[in-house]
Amino acid sequence: MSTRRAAPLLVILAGFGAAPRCAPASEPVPFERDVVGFLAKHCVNCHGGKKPKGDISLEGMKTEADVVKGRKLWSSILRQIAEGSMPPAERPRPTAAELRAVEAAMKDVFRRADATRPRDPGHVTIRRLNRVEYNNTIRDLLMTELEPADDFPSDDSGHGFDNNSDVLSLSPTLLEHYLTAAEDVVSWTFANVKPQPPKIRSGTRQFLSPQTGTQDPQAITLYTSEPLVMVFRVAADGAYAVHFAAEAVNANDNPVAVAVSIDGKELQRLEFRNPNPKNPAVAVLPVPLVKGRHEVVVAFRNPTSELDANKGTNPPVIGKYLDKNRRGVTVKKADLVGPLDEISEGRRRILASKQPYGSAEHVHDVLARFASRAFRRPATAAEVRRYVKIHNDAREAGEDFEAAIQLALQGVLVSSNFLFRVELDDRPAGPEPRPISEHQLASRLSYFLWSSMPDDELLDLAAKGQLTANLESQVRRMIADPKSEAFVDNFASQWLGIRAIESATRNGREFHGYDILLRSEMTRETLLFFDAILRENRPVTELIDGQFTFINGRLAKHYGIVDVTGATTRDPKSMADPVPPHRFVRVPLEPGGPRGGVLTQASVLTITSNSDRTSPVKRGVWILERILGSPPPPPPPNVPELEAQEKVAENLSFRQRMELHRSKSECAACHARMDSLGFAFEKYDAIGRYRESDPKGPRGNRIDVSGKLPDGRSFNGASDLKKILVEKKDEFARCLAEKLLTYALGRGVEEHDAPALDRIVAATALDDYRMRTLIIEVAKSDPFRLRRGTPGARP
Amino acid sequence: MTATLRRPLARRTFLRGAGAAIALPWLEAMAPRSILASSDPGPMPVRLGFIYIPNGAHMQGWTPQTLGVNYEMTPVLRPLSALRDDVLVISGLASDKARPHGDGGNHAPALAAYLTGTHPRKTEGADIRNGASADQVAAAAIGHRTRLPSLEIGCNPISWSCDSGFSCVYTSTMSWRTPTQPLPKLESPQAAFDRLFGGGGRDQSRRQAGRRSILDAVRAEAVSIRHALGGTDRQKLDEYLSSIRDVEQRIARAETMPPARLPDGATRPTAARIPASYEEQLRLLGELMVLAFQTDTTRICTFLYDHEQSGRNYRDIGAPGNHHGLSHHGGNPETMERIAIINRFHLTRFAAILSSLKNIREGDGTLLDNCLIAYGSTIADGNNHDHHDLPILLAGKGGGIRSGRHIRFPEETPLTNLWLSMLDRAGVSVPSIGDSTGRLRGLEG
Repeated sequence: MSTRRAAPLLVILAGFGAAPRCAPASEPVPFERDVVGFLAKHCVNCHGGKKPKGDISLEGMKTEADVVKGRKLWSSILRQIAEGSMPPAERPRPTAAELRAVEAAMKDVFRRADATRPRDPGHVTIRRLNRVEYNNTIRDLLMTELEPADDFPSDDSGHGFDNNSDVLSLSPTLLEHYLTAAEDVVSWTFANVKPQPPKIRSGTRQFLSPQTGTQDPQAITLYTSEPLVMVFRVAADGAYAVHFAAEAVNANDNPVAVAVSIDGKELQRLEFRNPNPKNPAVAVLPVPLVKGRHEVVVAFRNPTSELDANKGTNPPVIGKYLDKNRRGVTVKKADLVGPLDEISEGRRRILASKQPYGSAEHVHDVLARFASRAFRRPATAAEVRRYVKIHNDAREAGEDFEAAIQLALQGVLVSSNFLFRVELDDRPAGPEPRPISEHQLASRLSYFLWSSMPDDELLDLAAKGQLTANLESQVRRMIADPKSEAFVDNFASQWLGIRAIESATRNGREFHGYDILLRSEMTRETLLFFDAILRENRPVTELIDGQFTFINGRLAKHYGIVDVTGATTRDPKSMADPVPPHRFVRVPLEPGGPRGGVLTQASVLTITSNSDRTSPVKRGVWILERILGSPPPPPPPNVPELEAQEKVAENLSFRQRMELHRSKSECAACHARMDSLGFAFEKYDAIGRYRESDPKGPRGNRIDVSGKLPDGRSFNGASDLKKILVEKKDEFARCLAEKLLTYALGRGVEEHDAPALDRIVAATALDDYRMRTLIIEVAKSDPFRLRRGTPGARP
Repeated sequence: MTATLRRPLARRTFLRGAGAAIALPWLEAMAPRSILASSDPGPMPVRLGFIYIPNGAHMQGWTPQTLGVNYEMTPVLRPLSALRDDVLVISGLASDKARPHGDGGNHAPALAAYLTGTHPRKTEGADIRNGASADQVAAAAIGHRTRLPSLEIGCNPISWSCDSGFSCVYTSTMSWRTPTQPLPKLESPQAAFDRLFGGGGRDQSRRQAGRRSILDAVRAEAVSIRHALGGTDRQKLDEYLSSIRDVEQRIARAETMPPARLPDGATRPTAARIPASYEEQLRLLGELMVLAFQTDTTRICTFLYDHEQSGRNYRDIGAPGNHHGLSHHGGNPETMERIAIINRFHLTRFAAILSSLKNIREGDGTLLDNCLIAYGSTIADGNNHDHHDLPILLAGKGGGIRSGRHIRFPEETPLTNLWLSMLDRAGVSVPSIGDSTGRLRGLEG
């Protein structure tokens, strides 16, 4: 491993972000000769004197201690020297021997510093719940489906993730939102109705809204007499009601007629000619039901004509176009609500107590239990007293028991202990590392893997002080729980950057068919793929070269896949099923084929392209940043865009023009690194379709996807390059571990986390770099389980 | 809330349908009345608006060649033709703090310095630091006179690249309450409407009493843990505590001030939470800025048309491509023309705000006469990230400004001097803002 690491290929590909800190011990190299001497010869001319370039003076650097002290700066210096960006091209080049020596000497300094310095788990700033976490926490705390945070101002992100504690701020506007949300969700919880989830819903051939073409289950438009059928299973006898709301489409002078029935009995026939916002067709249709299965049917009674209706499609299509004049009825709501005489489950859970209803003991009991769940730790007596006082004051002002309790519950939901993940510390200024509390650990785990509060099992273990002892099995359990979808949604989409696909628009006729639906399907493929790697505990390298994926009919067409075996050519004898049009299915991919792994998924190929063409630069940067963990420095200002040079280069291929572009000396160093990686993927167009030639290139131009890495290894195309990347298991695992730690802690990874990352990667390597193992090792790491205080804090 | 959905359709709809005992304001039901027509006849308050456009402007097409009243209308400023008497075109201002100053940043410092005249600290994390922005300096001084001290609105491009090494907050936020507390903008016209007028309804006093009681309790709780926290932790908690104070003050003001009265025809926007069309979002938010000033709900508003460094695609209006990418046009005339198209598009939305303000009578003149609305960017030509000779407009005649001219100030005159001059006229006298060196002279003509 260590011999390969020293190869120049690595210097170029991975930089020194991934340099070995655990390399085998070697004889200390004389620091003065190799480092101080190098600086004097190559650096201090510019980075010294009264006006050092870039405000970076290296003149005072004389001892190892200086290097250790300025660790961040020195890592960057080392990377720049190794990449060749410093000294700049107009200065004399250091010899290869000099470079090797300075690199080895400095790495050795770092290594020895890491071995001797005290462990430093870092400090996590108290974290405000972001919008996703707020919604999920409210869901788990109150068992409500409301998602009040959708109205909150957007969260900022830092270090690539929107759960970064340092940038999550709180403003008066947001506080007002919190107050309103608390009022809404508590009222909802106490409201005396409970909508029933339907078990089956069928009747329309596709749940497509004709307006947007997107899957919109909220509003289904019926154009034919084929009814909308919903099956409910109710758990108790009682009074129920069907809540119905609808709008007419193209009713004109002839009102649409809709019949709502339950179990074959018509409850009501409604006729209306809206849209008229002042007069929506809304009906509440009471019906007594017995425990068991019930079928609610909504039927459109007078479509354009019965003849049309019977052969019509939903949505109505004439050739390629929607029939915009077709009569229809848009069903906005058709819910079964009840039982109306039963108290809501959320209210029952909150008020359940052994104490007499409405007594002072009852109030105390209710609020102590609720606050303890909301704060994710036992609430203190002083805290509970504050909420009891809210209740008492409201009673004195004339409110009844339940109204007063609701106000106190709202108070809990606006408290800093709820809105922030406060990790109180008995020695806030103490620099020594020690474990966070068991309850704090439960919260760190649950927000890491579920983006929500800990469940009862985690809280129970924490209360018994047994969570640390059961950490591994709990992480396994949490990953197996469906709530870990939140981790896939939030971590994977931000790590891979595919949320950007929402705004990735395309110009030009060749991208016809690339629409919002296809974009969401691209995202879904990648998330399902990541999800499978996680749940099946596969090696993380399969993210790069995994030989399966998840597609539906549209993506299959996009990829040129003909059936569920992943075949790309149709075999007339094949008995394999076609890929279903909407539902995603898992398909195997052939080794060495054009697809396999995130790098060749349409989502990633699309977000790394421009609106009118591919961007090998973006693709190269994407690999460096997100796979190898070695981002290139930002471009200097004032560099003209590629188009500006187009005139001189009309008869050149795209690649030749790019190469001309980067021939400028200030660009060459970094672009050599980025572009050769990106060009390997040139056979995938700007929305990720495979192609053999570039329609925009000169006639007869075949795409050149060959490249050479600085160590002389050459590759030809994506598959070759993926093989090289897959060999870099340590670099990739370390990059992924860094992103996981950033996400798990809500803070940027610092130099002092290096030893912990080394240990995470080493332990993961022992288990074949498996995904779940990597996550478990992150959860077991010092920065995740331990804390230190910050100077200046008082106990 | 519908049972058939994973997500709620509309919370408020459900709550009403379910008969839950929640007081929600239904503003159509409230009697419309002209706001200031009946209040005291003294001088009308000056309203302060600040609008920002990202990625600079097509400067050759923006800046008139001649000065004074008879300057020639330029191709980019054409959307303002009908309003030229109400707009002052100001050239020559600079924002030194928007420059990289050795840290390589251009876009993050640009928006960060616009209203603060402060160079933001280069950091992606804990220690974000900028300066207090001009609008918030004003809000601290005169915000207590209205129900809402200030309003922050704007549009979010969904995703954009943040300036390398800088927290995204710098490219997404105009208003800074303190050097460490950015104020996020409201992107949803509905949310902005609720913030402005959400405080009505018959159960209002009961609700406010409940909120006061809640805020008392949670403040005490936060104070009790504050001592156990250090450094950035305490800073985060202080943001929370100061927000509590703010909301309490707002409640107190609401109790002493007459309730907001909506003019005829003004209703809560009914479109989606965030309109699908950017133009629609700009239009609706612009109308709310007008409504806020018209009803005197606040006198201070910042409006971020888009994030700095935004890559929004303006294909629909004939300027395809990534806005930020286009701004680095490399001198290509075709690319520069696309920037001009984008500039004109934004100015058309600005003109719509000004026209609305001008159509509202207030005192002896129009509402626009009592406004001072600055519009522009801290980047001039985006290609080189120029931070001098900025594209700046000042609309309205508040405090006696003589508009309808093109004026030029000496090179490197700080933009913050304009903010000081605007604040003066709104009755806010502070010695300096960020890098300001004094007041602008000659605004009265």
